[in-house]
Amino acid sequence: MLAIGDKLKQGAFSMKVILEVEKLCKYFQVKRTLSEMRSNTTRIVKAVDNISFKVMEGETFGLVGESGCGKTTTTKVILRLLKPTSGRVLFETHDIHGKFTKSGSSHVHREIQAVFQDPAGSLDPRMTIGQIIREPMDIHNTGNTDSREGTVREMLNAVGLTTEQYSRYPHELSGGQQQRVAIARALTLRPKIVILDEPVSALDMSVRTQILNLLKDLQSQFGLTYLFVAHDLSVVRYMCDHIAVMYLGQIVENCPTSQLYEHPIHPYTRALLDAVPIPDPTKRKTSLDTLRGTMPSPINLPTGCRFHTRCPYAGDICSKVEPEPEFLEFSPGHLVSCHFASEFARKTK
Amino acid sequence: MSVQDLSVRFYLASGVVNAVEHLSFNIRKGVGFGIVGESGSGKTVTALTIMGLLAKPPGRIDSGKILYNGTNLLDLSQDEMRTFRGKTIAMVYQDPMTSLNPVFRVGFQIAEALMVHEKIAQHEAEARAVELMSDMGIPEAQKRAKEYPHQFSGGMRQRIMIAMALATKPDLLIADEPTTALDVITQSQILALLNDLQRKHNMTVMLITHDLGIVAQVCDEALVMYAGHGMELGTVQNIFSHPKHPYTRGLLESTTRADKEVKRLDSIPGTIPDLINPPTGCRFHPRCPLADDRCAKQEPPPFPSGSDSYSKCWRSETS
Amino acid sequence: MDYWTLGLHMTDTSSTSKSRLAKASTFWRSYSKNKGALFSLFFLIALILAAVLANYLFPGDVEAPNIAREMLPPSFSAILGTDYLGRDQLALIVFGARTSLIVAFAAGGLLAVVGTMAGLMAGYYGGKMDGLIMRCADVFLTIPVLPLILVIVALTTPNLVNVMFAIGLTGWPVMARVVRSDSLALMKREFIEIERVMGANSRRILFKHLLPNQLNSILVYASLSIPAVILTEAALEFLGLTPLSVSWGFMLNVAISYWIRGTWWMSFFPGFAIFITALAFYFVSEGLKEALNPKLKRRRESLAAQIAERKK
Repeated sequence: MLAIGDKLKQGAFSMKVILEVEKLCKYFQVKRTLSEMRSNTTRIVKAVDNISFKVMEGETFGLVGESGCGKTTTTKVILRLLKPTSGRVLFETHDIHGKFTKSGSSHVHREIQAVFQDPAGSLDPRMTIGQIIREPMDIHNTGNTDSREGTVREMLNAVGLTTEQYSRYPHELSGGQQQRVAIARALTLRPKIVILDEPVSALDMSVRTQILNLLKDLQSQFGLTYLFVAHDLSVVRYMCDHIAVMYLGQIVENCPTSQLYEHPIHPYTRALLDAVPIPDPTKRKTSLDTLRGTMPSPINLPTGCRFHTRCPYAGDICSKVEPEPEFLEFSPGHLVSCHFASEFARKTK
Repeated sequence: MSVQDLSVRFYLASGVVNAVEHLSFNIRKGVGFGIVGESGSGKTVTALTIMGLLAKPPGRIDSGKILYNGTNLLDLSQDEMRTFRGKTIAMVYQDPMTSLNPVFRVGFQIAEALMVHEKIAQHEAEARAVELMSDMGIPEAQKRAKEYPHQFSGGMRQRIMIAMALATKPDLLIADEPTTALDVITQSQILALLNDLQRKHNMTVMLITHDLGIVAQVCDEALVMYAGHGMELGTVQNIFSHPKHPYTRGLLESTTRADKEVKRLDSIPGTIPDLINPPTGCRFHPRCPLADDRCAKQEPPPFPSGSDSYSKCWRSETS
Repeated sequence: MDYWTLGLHMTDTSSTSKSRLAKASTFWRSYSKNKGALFSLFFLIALILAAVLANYLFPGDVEAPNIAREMLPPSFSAILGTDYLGRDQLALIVFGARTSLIVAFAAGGLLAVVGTMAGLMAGYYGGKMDGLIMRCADVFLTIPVLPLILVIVALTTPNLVNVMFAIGLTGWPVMARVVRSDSLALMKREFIEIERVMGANSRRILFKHLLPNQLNSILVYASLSIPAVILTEAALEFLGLTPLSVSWGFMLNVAISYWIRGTWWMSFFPGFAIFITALAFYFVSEGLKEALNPKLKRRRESLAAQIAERKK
């Protein structure tokens, strides 16, 4: 008897789009200086600027980028902690920022859950582990006291903790154990999709893989879809089926994992992959084709293609016109935002 | 430099923390030496002890020597150590945000190191500082030397830190997780810079990190630490291709890879031990797939596996 | 290099799984390290007991005048002397303690409740609500406390309850500030964000998550505000605005008129009572602050270790 998730992963994924981000923009206003107030101008930070992607049911979709690229802001909008400036987020074809009845809103809360980066910070220091895992059930009033206890114990076992931990406090647990508690809590109400924002970045190396493997197993067991946000390209390769690379609020490349690592097209993706130190001394880089300059401030965005100030292949058009995402001819499902995308694609063939 | 049987403990009211125990390793001139370990491994405490920056109460150096060109650094007085520090051995820290003084100009901060250790005049020191900055790859160094730390990006600040450390042309540069706070592209730039400097000046670099990728790319020899002990020592080539210690093997097998597709990684079970009540015998035995009775009772000695390499494991006894 | 960067936090065995009893005894041990706080606590307990049992300790009508014994200096029959009506001062002071303690706890409590509510709302909602609440607090802060209380008390009937209200209502801004800043810091913590992701409503977050995590600092600041309450209350009575006959402040009021006759005990003892009680509350709150603050605890531990080392 296959677990729900295995059925989904067999061969092709379910063709059902469970989460869709459509032309999402999130802008922030910067506090105005006196001169700005006089001249009535406002500086805007375009944290997320017109991004679109689709997540299929049962897959792990990766959102990769350096800090400041907008991936965390995106997750906050998806989790309804922030409202979009424009654009939509559709969960099972419903706009999650639209009007909801109380039960409708409650339904969305139960179906979309999250695990964040700081294992200790995401747990209330004054609650016991048992209380923490029970919290979602208490909020949504599911079952009764006994059934809730049962579910808590079930979840503790599912994430590899013993029922001894039930009455412990977060500070008595190690980082890895704390993150397991956070995962257990997220899965208590059997959500459809879990947003994971850098879930292992704060953990030690020997614990990292334990948690990643746990996440994989739980995905099969419970038939989950993951949105996996990270900056570490090696972790993303291990976990994700499909990846979108973000830079300064935009998606520059969006394709299946194998495509990204074997045939990266966008110069930023290539620079990132090039820069990752590989734990193999036989694969040392002889020369470093490093990027020029540093990441521009999101307040003063470059004109045209945002990456052109650092791109080794920047041409005339790059500083004038913003590239649109286009599908590549010979790679299915491979989107790139670059004026020279097709040329690069032909070269790597 | 030769660290011999170093033991450092912290005496707290809640117990004694065995931060570093019976650690020995040698670093030859001009070598890129990496110390790899997770949190609690003792790698930072080792660096602080070498630099003489250990907080003496509650910390205490219970045994061992740190020989630098024949002198035992642990025998030096505070004043003697102060001249040593900064001039012969310099250190670069992890967080460039907090390591620079925000109220002084950057050029001045670099010049300060020169003025203190080489007793030259300020204008001369500042000129040297500008030279250093441009050597570190900071464009328009002349102009930027007059700016303040907050006007620089993280990567630039780290370059400034390195410039400060190298101002006095030290023999040994200790870099404690120098790129952890930086993004991956800046990280590769800084690592390339360190590599470059090492070769150009035949400088010895001791790089402390938790990232196996960095060790593989930048270091020639490495020491793998766990729970305060040196578990494996050897050349980077050997450690990665033929790891002898189960912990090293476990780490390598559980490291995620960006360069190849892996279906399933094997993880090391368990968690990092409590340093106040560490496991008896070999510190790694509760998590080790090869552990037996002896491992739980007796701490293995470092078994040599070639010149200047060892593996602290009973399984390495026979080889 | 602090405790955290050295990785020592991982070996913090001082907080392993404990029962409520064990936690209470650790707290008591930490608290008792501060001798001043310990002594003050015992003093206050004794004072409270005396105030509660006053009727038994001093049977009869304490307020009844006894002309024969007017203004006697301290002696064996009247340890603290007698006042202008011949009444035993010790008895008066113990009864007066009732007033002071009731006002202290009641006004302190009111101030804590109002201040905490205001601070929680300001910290949780932020934005306009925060601005509104803080501007109100600022208004109360700029008005000098005593004149404001005088006005309130003058406009309403000057009885114990109104005095309590008046003092409590003017003291809330400081509490609100503390709770607001703690709340703002907590709101940024990830576990609060997760509560919102899970669908918790405002009430739940405010009272089940924000409040419990601040209980320590609320307790400390509430107890810290009590000395000021005691002094304010004494001042009100001293100025003659509240005819609470048996109270320390009023005793001082009367004593002033009789000062010229050299009856130092009529002003000294009530004054000293006010002083020592306020001081005791202050020491207790300092003791609480140290005992409840884990960071200070660790520093003291390492200091203790250093001292032990040197002794070796």
